[in-house]
Amino acid sequence: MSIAEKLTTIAENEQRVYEAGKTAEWNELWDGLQDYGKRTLYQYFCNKNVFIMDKDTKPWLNFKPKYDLKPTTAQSMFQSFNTNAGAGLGYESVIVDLTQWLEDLDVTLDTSNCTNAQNMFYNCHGFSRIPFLDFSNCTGANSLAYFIAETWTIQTIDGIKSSENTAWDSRSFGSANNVSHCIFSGVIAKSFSLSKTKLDKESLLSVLNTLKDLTGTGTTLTLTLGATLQAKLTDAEKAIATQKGWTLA
Amino acid sequence: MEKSTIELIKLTASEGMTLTNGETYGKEVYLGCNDSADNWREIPDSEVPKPAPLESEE
Repeated sequence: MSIAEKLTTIAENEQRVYEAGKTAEWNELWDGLQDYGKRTLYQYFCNKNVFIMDKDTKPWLNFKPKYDLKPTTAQSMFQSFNTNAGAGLGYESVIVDLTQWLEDLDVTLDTSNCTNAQNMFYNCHGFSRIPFLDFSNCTGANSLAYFIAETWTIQTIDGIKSSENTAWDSRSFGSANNVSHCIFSGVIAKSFSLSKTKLDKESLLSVLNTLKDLTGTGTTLTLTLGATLQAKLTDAEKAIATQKGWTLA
Repeated sequence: MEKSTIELIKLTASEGMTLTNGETYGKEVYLGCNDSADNWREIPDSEVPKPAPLESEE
């Protein structure tokens, strides 16, 4: 081996040692943060600027879980994430596709056992898209209050699953100003509001088809859409809801 | 060919007013099959309450 080749090998080995060291640090950090995969309490986990999504200059500050995220509580989990991340900190705000981000890490967000998602994405400005959310077990009062509110970056929710006891209310989609696509599944059986969203027609129809059938019960529940979303539906489509005992406001 | 009749009962608030059943508010309301116009009344727009956030922390 020539001296030049030896110097090249030394330089490459130095980089490999550096990368191995960084990987070891990442493993140690996230083993601790996620309790070797056993963590289920994720309230306030990514609150405010704990993590900065700046791959280029601050990768060590990025949200990079090692294990699947399986919160039993996701209260304020991403509240105020990436809020003014540049102001006063010297970091540049970056908005990412959380679904793709987690796929790249080979990590999933599984909320099927979550009982509290209050403020989960409240004032969150870090994502353009978020993964499928199963709220079947969010049945307690306030458990979905402001789960997505005061945010204008999130446009797509891959989907939401609801059960008959899922605690939707008028605050659940508070000021989710740019949410335009979300396919609902399961059953919705609580009055709630989507009037602060920009849901497209496909999403709205999925909501109507998920509303519980109240015929024969004498009960009325209300879905508040507001004038803009109402205008996206034909009379026949509105009747999907009204004929099932739902009043559209 | 299929023929069907769609019945929608729509309440529309007067100008400057909002419809409410005490819990929900709206300018135009399409009544569910178990609902009644008697359950709704008009209030001035200024009396429509603004929802308060559960937490004010940023």
